[in-house]
Amino acid sequence: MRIPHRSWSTLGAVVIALAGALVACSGATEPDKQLDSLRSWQASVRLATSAVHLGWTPRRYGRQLHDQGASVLEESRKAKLKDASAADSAAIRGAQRALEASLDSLAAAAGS
Amino acid sequence: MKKFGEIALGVVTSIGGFLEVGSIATSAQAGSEFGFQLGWAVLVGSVALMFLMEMSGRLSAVTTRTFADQLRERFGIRGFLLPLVAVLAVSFLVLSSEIGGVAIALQMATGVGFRVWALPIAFLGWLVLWRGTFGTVEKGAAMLGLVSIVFAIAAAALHPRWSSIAAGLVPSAPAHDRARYWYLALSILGASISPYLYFFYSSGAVEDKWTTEHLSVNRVTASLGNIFGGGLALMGVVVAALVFLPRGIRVERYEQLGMLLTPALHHPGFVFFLATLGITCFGTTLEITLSLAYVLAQGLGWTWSENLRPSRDSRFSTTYTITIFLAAIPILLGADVLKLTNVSMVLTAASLPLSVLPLIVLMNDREVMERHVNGIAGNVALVAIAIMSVVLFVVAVPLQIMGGG
Amino acid sequence: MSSLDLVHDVLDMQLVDRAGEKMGRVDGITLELRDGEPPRVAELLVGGTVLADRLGGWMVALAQLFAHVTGAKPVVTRVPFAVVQEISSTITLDAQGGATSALRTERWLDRIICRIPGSSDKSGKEQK
Repeated sequence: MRIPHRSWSTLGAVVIALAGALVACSGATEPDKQLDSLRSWQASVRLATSAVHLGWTPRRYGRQLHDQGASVLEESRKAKLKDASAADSAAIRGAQRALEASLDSLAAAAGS
Repeated sequence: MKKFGEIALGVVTSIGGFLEVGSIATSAQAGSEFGFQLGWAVLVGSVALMFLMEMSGRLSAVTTRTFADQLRERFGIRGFLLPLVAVLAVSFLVLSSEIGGVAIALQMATGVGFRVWALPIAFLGWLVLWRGTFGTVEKGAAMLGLVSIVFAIAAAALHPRWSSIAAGLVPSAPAHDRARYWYLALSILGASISPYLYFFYSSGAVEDKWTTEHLSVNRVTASLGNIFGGGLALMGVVVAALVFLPRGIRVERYEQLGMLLTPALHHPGFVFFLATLGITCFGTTLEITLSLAYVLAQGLGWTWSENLRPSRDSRFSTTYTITIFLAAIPILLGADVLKLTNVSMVLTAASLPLSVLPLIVLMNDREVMERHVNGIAGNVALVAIAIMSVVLFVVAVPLQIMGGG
Repeated sequence: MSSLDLVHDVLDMQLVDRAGEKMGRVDGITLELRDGEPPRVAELLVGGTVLADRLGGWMVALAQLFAHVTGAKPVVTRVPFAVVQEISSTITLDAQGGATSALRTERWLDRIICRIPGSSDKSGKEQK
């Protein structure tokens, strides 16, 4: 039995589609996603703070996670938002402040 | 007695080898976002892999030729080229992710940035391949990989409702974020059913000189190994569901996973997570590197064997040398390892038809398999897997765009 | 009278030499056309360019680019059909692989690989 010969143009089309998908992934952020991400990081930072306090993780790890969280916060402040209403922007700014506060606690615990 | 030893070794190898950067990441993401609901994807992935591995093992035991050999010989260079290019390209991306996984484990352990570790890891991996034999890779890496059992221990320590976990093993529609749900399902399938695995397994059967006498060993190894291995991946989902989901933590960076096992196991949970991530990813780095070299060498008819001194199979040893160092480069350059992992899992899932469809032909060819052709059960499973793989191919790009987070 | 299915049993099959060493695959076959008589298999061909020809335009261009960049002259190994000893799951040739051009790249790499420590000694690996 013979497998039919696949044309190169199909392969080319697939590659281009994939490349397009990858490029599409890195588009502008939506307000909902931003909010989710900020809240998720705030929770992560809070868990890390407890973990450091309880000795579950070394302080070095706490510092690493702090740096990650800080870079997420920074990116969020710089990010352009798609279709953001006034309420959305306010919510996001609130989440950013909350994340910042948690990061400060983590920094205190982990000794940044 | 000897057979029992072989079976035990094979099963241990599969369990220890199941978890790697892809399954750890996809399981954690699935658990943290959808609780136990995506358990079925892990189950489907493990069962599908079980069949594919058993078949590629049987193919090699009966014909004493590898899967790649058969692809070239039965389908000619034209039929071989597309699967070859797909396996090489996709496996290369996965390999980069694995090296990234080891690098991140080392970063979390030492505080030294992950980019610095890329080349040392590649060098160590190269050294093991250069000086070691197939047995070293197969047994050594897999035995050490058993450290991943810590996932099961952590899950048990959290006292989950096992009935809820069981409920998650049945496919269900998500209550929210449909695109993301199916995207994660796709990623889990890509993490479980990786072509490099059955190409490696088939080459291993030839390295270990399997014959028709090993058919039962093959069956038991492929099934038990993948069921238990899949069980560990499922435990990853469970722990993430119990630790991250209630706190509203979404996994966006590997570093967050450092905390995954700590509520259950405290400080040892941190240590063992790093050990699991580092060891399983390193073992998989060796496997994929070899797998890439195997497929190329076998397809082109070169001398090959991990049991030969490198100077006896120069093209093969040069290939794996170049491959492992090349794959370290994206990590050296600072690629986002989690994003790289997710993309490579999706591409793996999308590339499945190219290796699964030819298998249908080979496993039913009496000239190739003689009386060991597939029975009805095997063919039903294989066709189901093939249909699934075509569906995955079709939905891969749309899901990456819509659910790629 | 026995027959031989060239595409199924010869093309793309693994070539091994007298000692059992792999020598590449049958990438092409040449037939000798004779007036008034059926064609005869003349030679088995081994070589990247032969493979590229079978794949068509793109691959030929790629192969030429590769040759240009590496400066390597592509070589096609022509194995007279008379050298074929046995055709089974592999094709055994009555020849010594190292003496043919089929293993040219392998030998060339050998000289580089040998300089890297650990490439030629035991440590658990087979002597072969």
